[in-house]
Amino acid sequence: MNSTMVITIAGIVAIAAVGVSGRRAPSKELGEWTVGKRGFSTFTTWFLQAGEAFTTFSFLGLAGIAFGGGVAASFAVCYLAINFVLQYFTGPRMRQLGQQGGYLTQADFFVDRYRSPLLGKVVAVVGAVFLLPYLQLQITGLGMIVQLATGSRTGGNLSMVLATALTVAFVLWSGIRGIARVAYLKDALMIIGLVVLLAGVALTVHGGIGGLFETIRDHHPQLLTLDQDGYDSTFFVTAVIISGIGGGLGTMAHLWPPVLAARSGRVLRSNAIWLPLYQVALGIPIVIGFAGVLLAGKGTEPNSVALTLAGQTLPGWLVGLVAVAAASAAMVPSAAIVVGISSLLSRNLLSVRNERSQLRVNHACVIAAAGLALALGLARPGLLSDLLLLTYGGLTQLAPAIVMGLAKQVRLRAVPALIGILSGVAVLAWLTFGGVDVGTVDTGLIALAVNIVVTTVAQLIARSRPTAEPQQPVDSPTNASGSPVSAGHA
Amino acid sequence: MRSPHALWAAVPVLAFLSTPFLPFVNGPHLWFGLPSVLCWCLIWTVGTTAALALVDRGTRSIVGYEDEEAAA
Repeated sequence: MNSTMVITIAGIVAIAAVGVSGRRAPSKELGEWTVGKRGFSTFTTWFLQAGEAFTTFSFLGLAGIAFGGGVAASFAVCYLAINFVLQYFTGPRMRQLGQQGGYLTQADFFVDRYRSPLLGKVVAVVGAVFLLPYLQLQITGLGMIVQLATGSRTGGNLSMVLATALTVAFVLWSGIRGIARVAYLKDALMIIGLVVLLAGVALTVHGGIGGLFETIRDHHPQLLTLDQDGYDSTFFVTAVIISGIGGGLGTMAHLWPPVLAARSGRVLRSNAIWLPLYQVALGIPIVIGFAGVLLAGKGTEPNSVALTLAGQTLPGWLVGLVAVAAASAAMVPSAAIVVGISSLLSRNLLSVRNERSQLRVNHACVIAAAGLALALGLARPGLLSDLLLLTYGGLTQLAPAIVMGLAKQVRLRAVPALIGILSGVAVLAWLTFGGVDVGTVDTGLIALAVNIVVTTVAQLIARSRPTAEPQQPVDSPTNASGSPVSAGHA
Repeated sequence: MRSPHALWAAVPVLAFLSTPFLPFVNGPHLWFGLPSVLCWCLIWTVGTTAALALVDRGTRSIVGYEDEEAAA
């Protein structure tokens, strides 16, 4: 076991230990475990919300896109900023409704605003199914990080098992408070890791960062434009729109607990204003991806560029530090995704009534979801890769119903919303797996357009016919138990 | 939020979406030693903070804006 491996394993254990230390009092109910006491400060919420922006994608994927597609990787910087523009307006409203209706999950919002447990169950299934490959992506990404940093495939697999087990342990023990505690450490590690890597690259490339881009301009000018095969202006615009909508409108279930846990709408607005500045750091992996064009071999796997360069430019112990930073970028989102999946399943799909039983079932779902993602990551890493293609576009199909549900009076009915979501997902699956050539247009955006048309037509038909559906809520009252009010209609 | 100040939020969004269509941005240019496209996107990332700060400043004075905090 070399020094890089020792540092990496020690770092993973230390990250989990920090998560375990986040627990205050034993959680007796799902509400405390999932959203704390809805009193998180600006500081804590900042790190929870920033956690989603800095993931394994930031370390591996972004550098990989820059390596192959040059400045097209800038789309991530754009859509994350647009996320915060939308969150500035939607986040406080989601939190307000969550407090009034006692929401713990994204699906609670649908149950309450559309008075439809069925819609809540469908959203829970869609959310869990599409988030599972995203969870697997984080776990396999972590394994890849350790494998690249240490040169050991066995070490990569071992670290996947260790990190998943430890993440499950601290999530079960500390809930969202543990994730928040680890998020502080993770962001510090991420910034240090990225700066160290940038410094290593700058010292290695002839002429530093300025010399790097002058060489790129002279020898690979196409990488500086958005006019490349596969990475043209259509790709850029449609990818920014669909990803901006997806993150900004809360279509991913694991983005809801940090919003619901915030102390006030002001906390969320303040973070939405200042968090874009944090995203400027994403310029670093893009620069590193460009450096890979000059420093890494032609056959280099794009996703491995960042850590290949780390191995080429840094001493072993600093590679270990970068690997720990990257591992933390996998563990924190994994923890948040596990919370998102398990709470959807235990609360909305299985509908366990008793608070204590709900927590026990939830914990079982945490272990099952993480175990399944790990097992597939180790045994069949490609099995969910097709499903992952649908994750972002598929979850964005919830956006129209979320927007309509945020209104003071919900005019959209549950059935049209449900038909729209299912239509969008079906069209997306057809476009993705049916061999339909749509060029570089993001398929999620096409599906979203169909979704909106179908929802609108279904709503017009529904309104033209007498219905037994209950009056849609103006703003939901909180019931005695703090659970979302449900009229029990589909 | 119906304040006209909210329109400031659209400025960085339009700037991001116009990136490929601006010849002075989308080309093999370097600004401050960095690719112009990357530089443009990073500048407007900072611009997003400025735009949202303007929205916030303009709307905080509106009566009822902080109702939810009062209700919380």
